[in-house]
Parts: sequence; structure tokens; C-alpha cells
Amino acid sequence: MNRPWRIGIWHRKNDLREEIEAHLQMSIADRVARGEPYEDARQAAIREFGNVSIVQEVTRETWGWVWLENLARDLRYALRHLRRSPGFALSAVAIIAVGIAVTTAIFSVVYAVVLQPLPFARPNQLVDVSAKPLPWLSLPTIQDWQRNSQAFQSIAAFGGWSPRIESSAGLGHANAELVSQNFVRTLGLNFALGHDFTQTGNESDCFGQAIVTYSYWRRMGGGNTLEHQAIHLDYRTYAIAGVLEPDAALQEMEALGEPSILTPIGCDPAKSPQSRGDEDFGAIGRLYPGISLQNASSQLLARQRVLSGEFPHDYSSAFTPILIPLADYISGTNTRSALFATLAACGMLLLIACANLINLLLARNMRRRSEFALRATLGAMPRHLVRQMLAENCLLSISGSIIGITLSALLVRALTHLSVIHLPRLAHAQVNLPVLGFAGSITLFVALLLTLLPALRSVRPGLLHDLTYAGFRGSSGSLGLRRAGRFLVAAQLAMAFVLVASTGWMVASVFILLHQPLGFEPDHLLIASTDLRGPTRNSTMAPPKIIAVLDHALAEVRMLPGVAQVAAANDKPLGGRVNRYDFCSDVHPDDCKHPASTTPDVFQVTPEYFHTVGQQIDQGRSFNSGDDGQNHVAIVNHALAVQQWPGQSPIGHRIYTGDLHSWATVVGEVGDVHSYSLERAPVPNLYLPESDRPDTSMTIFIRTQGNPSEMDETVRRVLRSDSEIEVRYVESMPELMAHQVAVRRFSMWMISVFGAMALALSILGTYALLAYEVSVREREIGIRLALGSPRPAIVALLVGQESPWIAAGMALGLLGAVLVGFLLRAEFYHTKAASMPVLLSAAVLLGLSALAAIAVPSRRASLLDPSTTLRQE
Amino acid sequence: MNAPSPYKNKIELLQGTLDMLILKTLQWGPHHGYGIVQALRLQSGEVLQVETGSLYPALHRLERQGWVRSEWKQSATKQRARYYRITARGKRQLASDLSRWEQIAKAINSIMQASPQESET
Repeated sequence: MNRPWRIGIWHRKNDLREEIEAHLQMSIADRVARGEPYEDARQAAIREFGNVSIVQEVTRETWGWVWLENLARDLRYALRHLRRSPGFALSAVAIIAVGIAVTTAIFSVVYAVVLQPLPFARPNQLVDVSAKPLPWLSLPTIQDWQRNSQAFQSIAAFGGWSPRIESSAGLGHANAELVSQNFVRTLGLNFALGHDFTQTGNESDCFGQAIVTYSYWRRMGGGNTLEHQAIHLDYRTYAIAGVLEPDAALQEMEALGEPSILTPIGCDPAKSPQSRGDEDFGAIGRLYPGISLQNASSQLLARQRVLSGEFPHDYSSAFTPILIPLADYISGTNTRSALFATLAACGMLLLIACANLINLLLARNMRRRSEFALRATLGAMPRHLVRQMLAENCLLSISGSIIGITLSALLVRALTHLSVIHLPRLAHAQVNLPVLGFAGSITLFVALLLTLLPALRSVRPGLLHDLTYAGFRGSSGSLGLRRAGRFLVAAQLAMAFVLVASTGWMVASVFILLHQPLGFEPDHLLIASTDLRGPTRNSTMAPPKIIAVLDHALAEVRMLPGVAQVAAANDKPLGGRVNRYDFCSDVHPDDCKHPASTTPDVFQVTPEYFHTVGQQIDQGRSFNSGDDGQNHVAIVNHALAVQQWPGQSPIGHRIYTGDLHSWATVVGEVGDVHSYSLERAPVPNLYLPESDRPDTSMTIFIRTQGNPSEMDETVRRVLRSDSEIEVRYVESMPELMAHQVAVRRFSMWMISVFGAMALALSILGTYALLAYEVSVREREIGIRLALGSPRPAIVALLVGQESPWIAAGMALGLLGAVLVGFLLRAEFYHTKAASMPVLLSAAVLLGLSALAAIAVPSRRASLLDPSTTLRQE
Repeated sequence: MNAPSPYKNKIELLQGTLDMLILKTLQWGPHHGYGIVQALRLQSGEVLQVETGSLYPALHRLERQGWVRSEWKQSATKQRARYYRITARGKRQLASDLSRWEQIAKAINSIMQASPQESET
């Protein structure tokens, strides 16, 4: 409380007292002047005035502060009360603290990652521009889309690049990105230092510029001048043109490639080195004010329809532009739904904890019945009693939440610093004002929840009954109260069931994802994405030259110690792009005339490819050095073979592909692989020899003997020593897979923890309820035993009474779990198969634990000695 | 002691009327609470005896509304008392209260004086 304001209240109170005193004095003076004796006059004045304290009270009420005094009184009383039962108070505060700490911590992550506005100017105008069936775009497409657009102020392109970085910050440990000239302008970022890329018209000047983020600038040593500051990317020097403002934390945005360094893709937009088919880039558009996403989408669709008509060979028939709000793109749909699911799980855990607490409160209030009854007889209104209970619960939940918020600040620090998981903008998670607001509302909600049911049950006391039986432990408690308790236990079991089942599904999802047959062998596999055209991206490179550069590079890598096999392909499994051309087979030659959306993705591979990645050859043969581009051979995967020649061997059949513009003979069939991602099922693939139509963008696959990550630096060095090869990135396959399931794995761990806690809490609640029941019914059980009831019958009686509630709770939980499973089916991968086992094991786990929880107190009750229990009263 | 005369029993003032009466009284100049009670009694021909339990809450409410202001002053008999003074806003409020009161009084009057025949047509 703040002091001057309290003094204000005191001051006004004294003022009022004086004012009334003056009134009385004047009244007395008047009467004395009329000749009455002083004492009579005083009596009369007081009588005429009326009850001074009531006048004071009603007057004070007009100040609007009375409720505050009442609150202070209620809180004092509550404090006194809680001090009398420290065990209860401490455990209640602890339960609330843990619940609020976890919920608040998760919310602060959700806020930082999903809800917080992007650190860009007018972020609502920004959209991610991509396409179906796969998101990447070519520069000419992006330029055509923004030319004379009524919807877009500008569209900026960006593409990943992973050069060797050397600067005053040291070697490596950062990401660079190629961006279009308008990238910084489109995002509306400001510069802490320097300026945007300059356009001198001279291509080489233009290429040598870089913009760095503020955090990287700090790592480089910071300072206020850009003079003599340069960075070296792949041994070439880039002058630093500008430093972005600190808020523009691009390096935390995974969806944008987490760049610390931006360099220009090209300088003269008219002289783009990229062709329309090179779909390498992501794009961000800024809409004109007042243009809606739908409006922009339909305009873009219309424009693309025109473009597809103009360049029918560059766009597949399924190619469709897609716009989503940039904020959604950066937080990521998967991440967002996973985080919200985690938050929901957390909320459910909090509800279970509250239900447990309510049970505790109900039991406690039963012991306080005589107190409530006495207060009611002394004139307390039901609302006074409720207010009193609310004050107690507020006190509990506020102390709990203060501890909880402190804990959550620690949790958030741990989450952001231990890099348990990589989420965009996670580093910005902190307990800030919106998070505190959230914690505050949760606290209030908990206090209300704790008050509601106990209040309904306790403020209508049967006065006479309660006063008479006050403290008489033999009375077995009101039936209504016990029903409320059982209802709460059933609700807890239901919620725990949902959480345990969700845990099962999450675990099953991750397990299935990581253990499904991939179609290749991911262990000891290192992949290096390269551009054979070199850093200048010179698009005119003769096919024989390409083959020569690639063969040379593969030979160099093959000689490295620790390398077992080496091959190359123009795309990789689990992260491949769409490479589709007109396609038809000898059985349906007409398909070539009308493009179908079911055409296979085409891969150009070197002869060793299938052997190196461990892809099964089902029939026929692999490519060999004899396939020199003259004989036009092809290999199909199982999915394509089944699609084209169901029930037949594909060997010897002929196919046409637009990639070769000719027919080729199928010489082999290989197994299916997940070519796009772990989560997308295999699709038809067509494999051609690299020598048949050499591609410059090649991924090199290296099967290592030891840990592939250790070879990373060596492979980079060897490839880069060949100045004609540019290395985009080097990554091991297990790393790539772990990355793809990272968010899932995080959710899985979080929800597992919540599931375990929910199970423990609800079982504890079940146990506590029955233990309490037994303690209340000791006398009755004693009488039963004394009258000759066998002990197993006592156990059967108690278990029989509780089982229907437990069964009801479980049934409700089953229903809830099925519903949640349906709602979150996108969250769970391929769990339809695992659905029954998960539900079944959740039911068994929960049912057995609940039975154990009621069996233990029941057995204890059956062991009571009737001679002692009956004599106790 | 004078015996309680019938008119001294509570006359329930219409809601809001007391505020108007207080403002009216204060129009003649600043007054303390006791003075207001006396003034109302005298001016009403000893009919209205305002309860202190209504007066003081009303005064404090009026002050909160900004219609009166108060200050501590010495009375003629050297008694320190809290004097209330009407503000400009209070005067405007009084004027609007008054016109509303006149309307109501007129309306009630016309109902009370109407003959049964007239009301049936």
C-alpha cells in the first residue's frame, strides 16, 4: 500500500469525526442559549443527532473506500485462520505455486514465439509469399508478381547460404543469407549504423556489400564506425554497409534462415542470373494499406494464371501462389499448434491441481461447519461468509502466484538459456507485462474456482444440526459434501486420462517418425549441398564441364580417410524439392499431352547413389559408368512402378520425361524414400543418370565410418579448395532428422511431464478422498466389524462405493481423449494405428492406480480394531 | 423537552430532493452541516427535520460530484466548523434540478386535482 494515500484516509476519518463533534457542540450551544442546563442540552443534542458511528459509517461509504477496509479486515482474519493450519496453507500455496509457475512459463514462451508482434514496421502488412505444391520461387517469378501490382508495395526475396564466415567475431558460427535489394526496405527495418545496400551500377561493387545484425556487430566488437570493418565470406571480402537496429532480431527467426549477415542476391534486377525454373527463394511481401490477404491472394492468382499461360514449361499445372501472414510463417504452423497444445495440457494440469485443492478445502470446511454456523447465527449474511472464503483463497492463490511467478521467471531463464529447444524468438521470452497480466488473471481464476464449490456447499448451513454436532467426529459428514468430493475426483481422473492418452500419442508420434522405414540408411551419412557453378553462379556451364567438376570433387572426397562411399544427387531425401516435368509411360502415352498432377519427382543421381544412401534395389540394376547419357536409361521407385504398371515388373518398359525431352528405358526398380520430410509419405520418384542431363545444383552424400559431424570441416575444406564449387551447407542426416522432430520432441517431453504429474495428482486426490472418508466413517466401520462383518466385506463395501465414480471418471476421460485425439489429429503423426493401444494402456494405467489408491485406505479401514474405535468417542 | 410532534416523524424525501434542498440552502451563502439542518427546518416551517444520517452522506457525495466545496472556518461563536460552499457547477445542477422538480410537481398536481370524469374519458 502506498503511504500518502493511507494518510489521506486517516485524515478524512479524523475530519469527519471533528465535523460531527462541531455539529454536536453547536447544537448544545444553541440549547444552552435557550436556557437548558448543559447536561440536558448535551443529552438532547446527542439524541437528536442519532447514532454517531452509523452516521460516520454511511458517510464514509460515499467515499467508496469501505470495501477496502472490509477487504483488509477479511484478509487479516484469513491470515489468522491460515496461520492456525500451516500444513494446509503450505501445501495449498505449494500446489498453486507450481501450477502457476508452469502455466506462466509456458505462456511466456507462447507470447514470445507466437503472440508478440514482429519487430518490423507495421507488421500486419507483411505476408509470406510462397507457392503450392512446394514453397520456393524463382527470382523472375517474384519480379513479375510485384511489377505494377495493386496489392504489393514490394516483394523481397531471400535464400539460404552457408559460406565460411571469417570476421573479427571469429570463424563460423553464424548464418548468412542472400537477399534481394529491397529486403530491408520491405521489412521496414532501421539501421543502427550505416545504410542499405548501395547501387552504383557496378556489379562487382554491389556484390561486395553486407549488412549485419546488431548482435553480430556486437560480436565483431561493435563500435560507432564502419570504417575498416569487413567480413570474409568464402574467402571473399565484403564491406559492411550497415548494421541493423537491435530490435530486428533476424538471427532468431528460423523461418527466415536465422541470418546474421545479409548479402545481395544480385544487383541489377534486369540482369538476373537466375532462370525462371530456378526455384530457390523464399519471399516476403508488403501489402498496400487496406489490402486484405484475400484480396492480395486473388490478384496474385490472376497474375500467375497469365504467367503460366506465357511460360507453360516453367510452371507445373499445380503451381499456385500462397500468402500467409508473416507472423504465422515465422512462428510456424506446427510450432504454434504444438505450443498451444502444450499450454492447454498445462491448463488441464492446473485444473487437476485446483480440483485437488477444492477437495482439501471441502474437507476443511466440513470441520469449520460449526464456525460458519456460529457466524451465521451472529448475523453474518451468506455473502459475508463467501467474501470471507474468497479472501482466504485470494490470500492462498496470491501468495502461491507470487512464488509461482518467481519460479516461472527462473524456468523461462532456464528454457531460453539451456537451449533445450530451438524456437523462433524464444530468446525474447521473459516474464513481462502481458505475461504478468496472464498470471494475474489465472490467479484470480484459481481463487474464484476454489471458492465457488465450497461456498455453494457451506454457506447454507443447517444451523441447528451443525451447532449440535459441531466437532462430533462420529457424524459422517453431509452427503452433499461427499458427493461433491467424489465428483471432483471423477473429474480429475477424466482430465488425467486425457493428458495420459495425449502423452501416449505424442510419444508414439515421435517414435513412429524416427523409427518408420525411411527407405534409406540415415546413420553415418553426411550431406553437403553445393553449387557446381561456383560463387559467381555463372549460368553458362557446358555439361561435360559440369560432369568433370563433379567427378573431380567426388574423387577428392572419396580419398579422405574415414569416408566409405560418396555419391551425388540433385536433391536429398527428407528435404527435397519438387522437380516435376511432363511424364508418361508406354502404357499411357497420352498423359504427356495433358499434364497431370501425379507426375513423379525427377532426381539426377550418380552411379553410386543408391548404394551410398542405402536405398534398396528391388529389381533390375543400379546405374553404372556405362550409362553415359547416350543410352537413356531410368530407374523408378516402387510407388511409380505400382502407379504405372500395377502387377508387372517395370523393367524394360519405356517412359517419357520432359527433363530429357525423350524416352528412356527402365532398367531398375528401387524402394520408396521419404523425399520431402519425415512426415510426408513417399511419392512416385524417377531417377536418371546425372550424366544424362547434368545439373549444377548437387548434393553430395558421404557415407562415413565414424561420426559424420566430425567430418564436417574437412569436407568443407576439400570442396572449397576447388574454387569452382560453392558449398551451401554441410549437415549430417541424423542432425537433419533430429531438427525435423525437434518441436515435436519438445512438446512430447513437456506433455509427458504434465501427464506424469496429472497421473500422480489425480491418484493422490483419489487416495486422499478415500482416506478422509475412512477417517470420518471409523465409527460406522467399527460398528459393522463389532456386529460380525468379515473384513473382506468392509474392503468390498468401500471399493464398491467408490468404483462407480472412478468408472464414470474414466468413461468421461475416454470420451474426452477420443475428442482431443480427433481435434489434435494433425498434431499426432500416424497415430491412428497406435490409437487403440494408447487408449487401452492409459485406461489400464489409470484404472489400476486408482484401484490401488482406494484399496490401500479400504484395507486400513478393515484392519481397524472395533474396541478402540468405538471407545474413542 | 418538547414532545415529539407528528411532523417531526420522518418525512421521506423523494430521491434526490435532499441534494436539491441542500444546494438551494447553500445558495444564500456558505453553511456548516448543523446550519443546513436548522435552515431547512426554519424555512420549511418546522416541517422538515433532516436526518444527520442522510445529511452528511449527501454533503460528502455532493463534494465528490464537485457541486460543493468545503473548508474549515471559525463560526461567529468561535466554533471551528466545516463550511460548505456551492460551486458554479453546483449552481447549474441546482437550476436543472429545480426545473425538473417544477415539472414533476406540476405533473403530480395535475393528477391529484383531476376530476374522476375527466380521467375516464
